[in-house]
Order: sequence, then structure tokens, then C-alpha cells
Amino acid sequence: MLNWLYNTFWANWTKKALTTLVTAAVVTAAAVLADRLIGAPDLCANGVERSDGECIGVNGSGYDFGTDEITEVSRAIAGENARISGKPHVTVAVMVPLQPRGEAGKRQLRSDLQGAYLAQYRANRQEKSPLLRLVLANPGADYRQQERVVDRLAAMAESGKDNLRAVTGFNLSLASTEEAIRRLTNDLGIPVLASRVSADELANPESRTGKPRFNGLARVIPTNRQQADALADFHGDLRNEDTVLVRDTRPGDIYVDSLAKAFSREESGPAGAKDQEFRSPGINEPGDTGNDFSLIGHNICQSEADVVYFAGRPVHLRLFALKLAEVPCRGKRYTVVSGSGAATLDRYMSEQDWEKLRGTGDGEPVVTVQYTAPAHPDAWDHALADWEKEQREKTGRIPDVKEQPAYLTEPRRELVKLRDLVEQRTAGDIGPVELEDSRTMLVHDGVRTIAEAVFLANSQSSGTIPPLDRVAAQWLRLESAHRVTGTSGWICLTNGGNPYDKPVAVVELDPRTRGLAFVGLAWPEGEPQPEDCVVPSD
Amino acid sequence: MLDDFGFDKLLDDDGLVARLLGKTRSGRNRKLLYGPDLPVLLLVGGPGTGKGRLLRCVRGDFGRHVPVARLDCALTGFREEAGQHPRSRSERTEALREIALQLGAWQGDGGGIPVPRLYAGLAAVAAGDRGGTVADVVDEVRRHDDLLPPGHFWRGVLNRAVRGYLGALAGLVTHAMAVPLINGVLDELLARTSREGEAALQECYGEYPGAGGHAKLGLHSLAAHFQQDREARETAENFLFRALREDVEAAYRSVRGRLSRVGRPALLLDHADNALGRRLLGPVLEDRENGHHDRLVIFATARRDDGGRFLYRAGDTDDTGPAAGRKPLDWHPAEGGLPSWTRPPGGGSGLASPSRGVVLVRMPLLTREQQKHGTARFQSPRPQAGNASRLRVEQGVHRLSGGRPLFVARLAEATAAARLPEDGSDWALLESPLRTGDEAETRPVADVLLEELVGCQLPEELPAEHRAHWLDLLSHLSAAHDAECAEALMRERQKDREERLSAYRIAELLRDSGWPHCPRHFIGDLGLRHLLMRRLYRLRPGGEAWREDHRLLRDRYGGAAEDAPDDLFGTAGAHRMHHHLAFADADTVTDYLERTFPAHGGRADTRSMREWCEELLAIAEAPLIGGPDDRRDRALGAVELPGDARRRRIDRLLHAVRLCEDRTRAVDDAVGGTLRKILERIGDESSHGAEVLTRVAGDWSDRVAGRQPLRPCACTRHIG
Repeated sequence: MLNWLYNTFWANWTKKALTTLVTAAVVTAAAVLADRLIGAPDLCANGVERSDGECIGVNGSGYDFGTDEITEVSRAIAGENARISGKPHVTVAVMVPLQPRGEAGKRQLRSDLQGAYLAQYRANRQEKSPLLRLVLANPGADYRQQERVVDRLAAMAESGKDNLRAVTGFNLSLASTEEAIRRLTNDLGIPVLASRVSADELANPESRTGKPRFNGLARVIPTNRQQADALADFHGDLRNEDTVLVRDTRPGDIYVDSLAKAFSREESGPAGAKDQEFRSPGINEPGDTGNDFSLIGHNICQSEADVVYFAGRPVHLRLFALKLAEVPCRGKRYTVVSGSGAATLDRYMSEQDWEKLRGTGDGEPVVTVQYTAPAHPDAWDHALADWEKEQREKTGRIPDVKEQPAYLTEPRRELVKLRDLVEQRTAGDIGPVELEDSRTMLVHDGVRTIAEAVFLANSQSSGTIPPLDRVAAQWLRLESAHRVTGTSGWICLTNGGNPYDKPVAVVELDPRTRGLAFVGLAWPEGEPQPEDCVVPSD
Repeated sequence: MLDDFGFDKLLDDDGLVARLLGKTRSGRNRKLLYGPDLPVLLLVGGPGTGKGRLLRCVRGDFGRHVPVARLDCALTGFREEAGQHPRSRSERTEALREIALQLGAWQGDGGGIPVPRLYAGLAAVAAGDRGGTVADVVDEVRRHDDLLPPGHFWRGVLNRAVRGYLGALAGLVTHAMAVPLINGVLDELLARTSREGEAALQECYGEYPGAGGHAKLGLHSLAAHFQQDREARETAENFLFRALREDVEAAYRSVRGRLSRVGRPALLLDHADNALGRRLLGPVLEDRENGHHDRLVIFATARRDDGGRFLYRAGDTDDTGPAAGRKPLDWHPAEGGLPSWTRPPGGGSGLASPSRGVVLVRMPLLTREQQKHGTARFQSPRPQAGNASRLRVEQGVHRLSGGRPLFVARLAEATAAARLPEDGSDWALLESPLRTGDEAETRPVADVLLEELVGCQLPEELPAEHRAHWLDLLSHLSAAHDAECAEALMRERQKDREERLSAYRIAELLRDSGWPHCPRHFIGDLGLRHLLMRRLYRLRPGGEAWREDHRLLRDRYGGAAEDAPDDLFGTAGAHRMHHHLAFADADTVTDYLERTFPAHGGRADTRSMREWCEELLAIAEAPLIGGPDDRRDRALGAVELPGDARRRRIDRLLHAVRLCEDRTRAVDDAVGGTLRKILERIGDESSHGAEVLTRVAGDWSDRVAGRQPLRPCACTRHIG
């Protein structure tokens, strides 16, 4: 057999040459085929494996994870990554579920990634080093497969080629999100900046002593508690009997839990109706909660309450608002108040929905849905106008531009820059940008914060790439002189990594304009951030 | 017997053949041995040593990986073909055609070897015949069409379709030619030759004597020379062979050849010591001596132990002359390694001996181990045969064959089927029946062997009138020892003939046939001698021919004085007694021995005991064939004999020695023991020469114990 092979394929120069060529061709073809045949079921793209019908993994080379909405922005990210690949850079991973099912979810995702990309684009043009490379990390629906992605991120953090220095994203407050953040921070020492999760459980409590829950976690969004405080402050003193809490009891959703907890704080006056509970099948699944809501609507009608705190997800909030509007209640008008998770509620609203909210009456809507948005593009202009109006009433003169408070003007300037970038399309085609849903702004501010921390760390350490722990250590420095001016407001991190007294925008669904209406800025501490954003000692 | 039995060292993966051809039997590449100057490999060995079988092995095993052409120079086919058109063909052109056809039919890497140069030459030779009609001549030219490779294009040589050229050739018949036909043929050929082909022909035939670099002139001269006398024709033929070798060389040197061809092509010439073989080898050796190197590996077989007389110039074989030491490289495969041949310095003057370009490869004889192995192959299917029988056969084969593979194979084959008498001599072995080929009848293996070893390959120079009784002559000569004896026999046996063959001439012919020489036996090969003795005994009923020959020889020495010196036997008397013993009674011999015993008085003064012992050995060597065998009884003293004690002892001694000297049977231990005892007893009694006898007793019994012949001889050296 050996001799036959030798004589057939190797006996003279012609055969040797032909055999070599053919072997090379066959091996190449086999490799290509194998890649297609074997790789196809397992690999969605470079670094992304197929698992349980999802594409799980990390990719920074333009793969859109099958979500058409993010095709442009992921391509833009890949372009920016390619541009800087030859220069010293660190990698920042955006960890969000990249294959959402619903239309709204896909658009939210696009907003998230646009924010991240725009921040990368701006940071990489600041003449500072190192540059930022963005990768998209898909932990699967509801972060269920975060473990594999975290493994991959850990490898990237150790790799001298990738130099992963921070992970951001985290748009859902879920138990698996918490687990992912815990591993990344406590076990792997990778700095994490949560830009979109508001649950109190995903934040380090402020205390001078004791260990932080997550080592190296920073946030740019106020917690639910802070938002509830801000809302409470915004609404003035509500009496207990005027309010009722409707809460989702689905286990594992710490956003809902923390929101319920925040809304359950002590209020003055006689006790109101008891908490109305329901249980939804999933974050984006209405199930038969509609029936519950009709019944809850009747109960609330009977009570004194006209302000309803809703601790639930936007899908259910929409359904609840509609059901509440449907229940005839002697011309009673409600205000439904919810947290920042509802920030994209308007996207769930259909033509008929708006009609229902509006009711049949004289124009005043039957149900007004109010919630805190972590940011709103109109916030600064409105707030400045309000401030001017207030000053004019106070002093009787129109205040000078120089007197305008920096906590309003600086974020506004930042927002203008971002808006210019978007409108002039200098950053390339990234799909339609909707700043109203606050996601683009929030994620943008998060990545900007990471960039500042990296620059700061780099200026204090040798070499071109700062080590992981140096980046995490910079979270504490980002206040006062080193405050980060985000489009959503000043970001001054406390020792727990939380933004101090970060304002939230109170918005309401306006059935007349069929959009979000900015109502006003609310401050968790009850008053605006101190001058120069120095975090007080307590 | 397997075809390659005994050739391991030659054929194995790093053996001579693989290294010369650059390919192993399985097709693996090997580094080439020698080059660019190659020797001609002459496989030298007597009849039955497997020369032809080796060539068949090379052709069969290596022919799958490199182009190999095999030619049997003993075949008369070429001569007959040439005889049909003697003016345009010769034995050698036919042989070259055959070689070219075989090389052209090669199907392996690189494909057949095209032979444009040879074709042009042969076409010119065929067209040069001025005696035939135009149609005949064109037919002769067209006869070589099969040398044109198949396919439409003769790559690199004919730039247009071969068919066009062939059509033009056919057209020559119909058009009356004003000029000699050869012009027409050559014009057509050269006109249709590509530039590359023209350069090739120019380079080849421009070299022809008198061509001055012009191919056409060269081809013309070649054709003309072919029509002239023998010497001129030889020049032309030599050149045609060179053209063929240049074709081979070109096939390997071209770009395509370098890419696709590996190793070297081979030409196997069986029976190359025949005239055709000599005339093919001669020009190759001369060309290579003169620097015309080519890569055709030539294996040729020759029977004469020096390769053949044609290899030597006068004086080359002198051991003392100026040419001493110019013997060709002599290589025994058993020595291992590879022959380290390089062309000896000097030469080039045109007077160099052709043997300088030759490596004599001695055909390996089978070792005892290989003989056993070969015999066992045939013996194994006989479970009923005892170990003793197998041993008998093995010993007999060993004694008779002398390692000659054919001998071993035939004996083993024959004895495989036959049941041997337990205590028989080797004569019984030779009687074993053997069926050869398709024959229905079995024949004794001895007859088959004689036929194959002698009858089938008569010496080339044996005159035709002696061919019929050549075997008879040799049979008679098996009784002779020296040339004088032989000559006497020959004169007697051929006295009725006009043309007689002298014993000296026969000795020469035997040497040409590759039979070894033994100074003490005219037929120098033990096995052959036994075959011939057996035949002689059976030539006439009752062993009459045997008796007559020995009687003749005995009587030849009868006239001379008993103590006249004799080269082989010491004295004429001993010589006489030897032949007497061979066909008549032992008593006379005993008398003679007693009479000449040194202690007896008589000639005791002039003869030593040692000489007496030597004579005893020489006499006792007389073979015993046919007739009753009472040697053992008499040796052991079991037979009542007249005479005194010493005579009886001498008689016992004679028979004991005779048994020990009998090369057709194993030595009996009892006899061996007796030999020593008797010798010592005789020594005891004799005041004279006791010391010699004691020493001889020791010597002889040692040799008997070692299974050595008591009297070492060239033809029994292999026994032991």
C-alpha cells in the first residue's frame, strides 16, 4: 500500500509537484468546507458560538447577531475598531442581550449601541491614549448564558492583544445580571460600569465601613430608590391614602422588587389601599395579566387613591394604563407613576392605545403615565427655562448667562455636541438615532466615564496600557475636578461607585402629542448637585 | 523455487541493481551509483547459476519502475529476420529494433522512450539498398514505422503529423525517382523535422565519420557503409547503437524527462557471450571508453569466468607483462557492499582494453543454509518422510550441487516425490524421477540436469559436426584426470571420425562454457562429473563403456615402468591401479599396495611412507559405480581374505580409505574409527615409517571427523 502510494504520488518530480499542489488544494478546500459544514452549526461569527438557538459570544468585527436594526452601528463600530487596531488601545465590552425578539426591544438595543459607539468615536478623537475598542458581548436572552461570555471576557482581559479594561451595558436588572457583575468584579477584577440597570441590588450601598458588594462597580444611573426619592420630591408631599402600589411578584426581577421597595417608603397621612399584586410570565410577555389589571382597576376605583405607583416592566405598565383607562370610574383621573425602566414606553404604544389613554372627555386624559427617565434630550433646555423663570420671579430681572448654574449648562453643552455629531452624521451611518428614549445618552455617558477612567489611569501608570486594577481605582476619583460631564448630567461617583445626586427627568406620556413630554428635573437629594459636584462626606 | 532465490544481496533495496537503476523493487527512489560514466555489468557464472533467472527478476521487478529491455542473444530469430533482407538488415539492426520497441513500449513514468535518431538511421539504411525495387525499399523503410511513437505528433522531432510523413513515403513509390531513393526519404524526413529535431539529428549524425557536422551527409555515409564490406557495416551498426543510446539519453535529459523520469533505463542481454552479445557490448565499451557516456545500464551475462575473451587484448591476461593488473573489477555479491568501480586512469589511446569498462559480477552460489532452505521447500509436504531422509537429501544436494541453484532446485524437486533408500549413495539421488515441463514421462533427474546444463547450451564455438556427440565425448572424459589421459581417450573414441576434437580443445570449450577447472580431474565440476560418469556407465549395457574407458586408461599405463613418475598419482603404477580399481577387482590393487609398502623391502629404499600414503589416496579415489559394494565389510574385516595379516590390513585400509574418499555418500563413523586403528596397527608392525603413519592416522581421522575430503581438491573444496 505504501509502495503503491509512493509510486503513484511521489515517484518523480512531476508527481511530487502535482501531489503537493493537489494536497494543498484539497487541504484548503477541506478547511473551507469544514469551516462551513462544521463551523456553521456552532459558529455564528468569529468568537460567537451558536447555543440554544442563540448566538453567544463576543465580537467586534461587525457581526450584527442577526438583528437587522444594529447592522449599521455594529459595522460602524467594526470600522472604528479597524481604524485603531494598529495603535495602543484597550477593549471595552458592551454586554447586552443582542438578539431581542420584539420590535421595541430591537430599537432599544440600537439606541444602546449607538450611544456606546458615539462615545467611542468621540473618545478616540480626543488626542488621548490609549484608544478605545468596542466589542459586543451577547449573554443571551435575559443574560441566561452570561457565564460563557464572562469566561470569554476574562480571557480577553488577560490577553495582551485585547486588553479588555471594562465591561459596560447591563440593561436589565435580573439575577443573572447580578451574577455576571459579581463574577466580573469580585472574581475577575474587571471594572464594570452599569449604565442602564437601576435596581438597588445592583449597586454598592453607601457606607464608610464594610466591604462593597461589587469591587470595582460604577454606575451612571440613579438607583430605583434614588429615582423614587426624586419622584417623591417632585410630587411634593403625597398622602398615603392618595397612593396605591401595584407590583409584579415575578421572582428574579430585582428591578421590579427594588422599585416596589422604593415606592413603599413611608408617607404621611392615613393608610391607603393595600398593595395590588400581580404575577407576569416574563419581562416582555403580557400573558393574562390584562384580566388582573381590569380587576385591580376596579379596586383602585373604589379606593381614594388617584396616584398609582406601578412596580413593573413597561409591557405591563402599558397594559395596566390601558386597562385602568378602560375601567369607568365616575370621571376619576389617575396618574400612574413608574421607574426609569419605562423609559421606552412610548415605543410600545399604538394608535388605539393613545386613544384609550386620552379617554372621551374634554381633552384631559383619563390616565397620565408619569415616570422617571434617566435622561431626556429636552431636560436641560426646560430646566434652564424654569430656572430663569424662577430667578426672574425671585430677583425681578433676567439672569445673566454667566449666572446659569454649571450643573445645567455643562450637560447641555455636552448634549449639543452629541446632537451635532448625530445630525451632521460625521460618525457615519449608524441608523436612525432617537435621543428621547434616554438610552443613547445614558450608554454614551457610561462609555465616556470609562474613557475618562482609562485616560486618568494611564496618566498615572507606566506603559501605554493601564492595568485592570488601576482603571477600577479611578472610579473613586471621578468627582469634583475630575467629574464627568455627561449628556444626562454631571457624573460624580461616590465611594460606592454610584452617581451622586444625579438628576432624573420626570416625563409623561402625552396622548395629545403621542409622545413623551418632559415634565421636569427631579433630584434624588431634593436639591441640585453641589457646585463643582463635590460629593459630600455623608 | 522462487524466482529470486539466492539473489537477496543483488536485488535488495540498497543492493547493486537498485542503486544502479535508482529504484528499488517496490519503486522507491535510490541514490544513483556511478555516473555519468557507467560500467557494463557482466554477470559471470557457469551453467545453472541463475544468470537468466536474475535478468528475468530484474525485468519483472524493476521493469515496473524503469524502462527495461531484455534480449536473448542466443536466439536465432534476429539472424533469420536479417537473412530475409541481408542488404538492409543485419542481426544487430534487428536487435536494436527490438530494444527500441521494448523501450518505446514502456508505460510507466515519462512514457515510452522515443527513438528518432535510431529511426532516422534505420530508415536511411533501409533506403540505402540500391539493389531492390522502389516498392521493396519503401516497404523496408515503412517497416520501421512502428518505431515512430503512437499519436499524431512526434514531439519535438517531426513538426507536422506523422501521417503526413508516412504519406510522403508512400508517395515515393508512385513517383519515378530520378535520384536515389535515399535522397527522397532523407529529404522528406529532414524537411518535416522541427528545429529541435533537426538539431538532435545534426548533433547525432553530424558526428558520423566523414559527415562534417551535417546530418544528411552522416546518414548518407551510414547507409553507404552499411552496404559495404563487413568492417564498414560494423562501423555503421556501432553508430546505430550509439544513436539509440543517445535517444535514451535525450529522453532523460529533456525538461519533460527530468520532471517525469527517475533512475536509469536498463538493457538486459542474456547470453551476451554469444556473437551478437559481444558485438553489442563491444561498441558500448569502446564509446564509453572514448567519453561517449550514456545512462543505459547494461546487464549482460557471460559464462566464462573471465567474462569472455573479447574483453581482452593480447597480453592483457599475462600476469607479468605491462598489462598485468588490468583485469576488470571482480565483485562477489557475498562480499557485501557495492563494487567501487571507477574507470582506471589511462586509456583513451584507442588501445585500451575493453575490460576496463566492465564490472564482473560473480553469480552468487547458494550457501549451505540457502541450499537447506531451498531443499526444504520441496521436502516439507512429505510428513511421512523422516528426518533422516531429509538429511540425506540435504547432504546429497550439498555434495553434488556445489551451490549451483539449478542443481539444487532440480535435485530438491526430484527427491521431493521419490522415496530414497535409507543408506543409498548419491547415485540413487540422481536416479530420482523428475517431470519437466509438459512431458508426460518422468526422467531421472540426472538426465534432466545434463540436458539443461550441457545439452541446451552447447559451446558457441563447438563445430556443428560435433554437436551430436558432444555429451558422449564429455561422458568418456569423466573417466580422465589429466589432459594426456583425456587425449588418449578422445583419440580412441573418435578414431572413426574424420574431424576430431582434441581434449585440449574440449578443455577450452568447457572453460568457455563456464565450467570450472580442476587440476586433478578433466571434468572439473564434481556434480557434472558425477552426471557424466553415470551417463558413461549407462552408455552401453552393463557399464561396458565405463569399463572400456577405464581399461583403456589402465592399459595406457601398463606399458610404462611401474615407478615411472606421474603428475597426479605419483607413479604410473598408481595411476594404473586407480583405473583398475574403478572397473575391476580390488585384490590386484591390494597386491600392488602390499608390494610397494615401504617396509616390505622391495623399493623401500627409494620410497617414503608418505609417498605410499599419497598413492593409496590417489588409487582409492577410484569411483564405484554399479556392481556389488563390499567395501564396508572388507574395511571392517568382515570378509575372509587370503594372505598374511599385513596384506589383510592393507586391504582393509584400502577399502576404508575408498569409502572415506567416496564423494557420493556420508562417511560412516565406524569406518572412520577403523581407518585410524588400522593405520596405527600397520605403523606398529613396521619399523619403518611408523612416525609418518601415526601422523597420517591423526590427520586422516581428523579430516574424516570434520567431513573433509582426505585429499583436498579444487572440485571438492565446497564439501564440509
